[in-house]
Amino acid sequence: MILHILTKAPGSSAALQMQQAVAGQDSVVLIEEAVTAALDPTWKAWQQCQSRIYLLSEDLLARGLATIAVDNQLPTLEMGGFISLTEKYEKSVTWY
Amino acid sequence: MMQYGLLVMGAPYSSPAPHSALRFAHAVLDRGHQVAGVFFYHDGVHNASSLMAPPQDELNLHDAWIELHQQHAIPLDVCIAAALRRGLMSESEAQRHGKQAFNIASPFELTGLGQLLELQQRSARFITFA
Repeated sequence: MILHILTKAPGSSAALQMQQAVAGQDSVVLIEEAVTAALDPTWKAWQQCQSRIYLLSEDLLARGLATIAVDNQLPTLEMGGFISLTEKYEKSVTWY
Repeated sequence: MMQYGLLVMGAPYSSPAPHSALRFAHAVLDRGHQVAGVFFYHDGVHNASSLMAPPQDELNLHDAWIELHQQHAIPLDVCIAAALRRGLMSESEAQRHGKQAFNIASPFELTGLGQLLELQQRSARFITFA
């Protein structure tokens, strides 16, 4: 079980590499530029990871994307929720 | 309570990584955990520059790291090889290399990759911000 932390936009090579690496019990946190995934509900990772992918709300707010995430019913978490995931997952990988 | 180690590889103001790492560190502490140390590597070494002078209405990341250290005694280690090749050095390194000025001072410490490995071993969780 691994926590994947993606920092780059959905079309980036980092995102593609992450999608190839994500396994069944893994979770994904989208931070920094990766939260622009809120603009693309068709991004394959939304289907691939289903209930185990989250957008960092602070980074959504900083980019003016918080409303879009709510409208598209995308799962978000606060920084405290991010910490909770790191508590749950012993290993993490940052994709950048 | 767990020990967290943080690796920062992004430069301040050109990468969001340092700001993310700083917010993460505060959130870790707010949850009752400890931060065993922060290691600055690659362009992340620029966080240690004492000559950083952003506009007054912007966060001064250098000062913010120092404040974190002062409040929680968190070691701030800087990769010496990455720092020297980017023109960041302590007073002793400046003397050794015949330079007129220096821009890294305590609590930032120039260290080697051995410190990074040691931090990883001490940390129950090790998170990279790049």
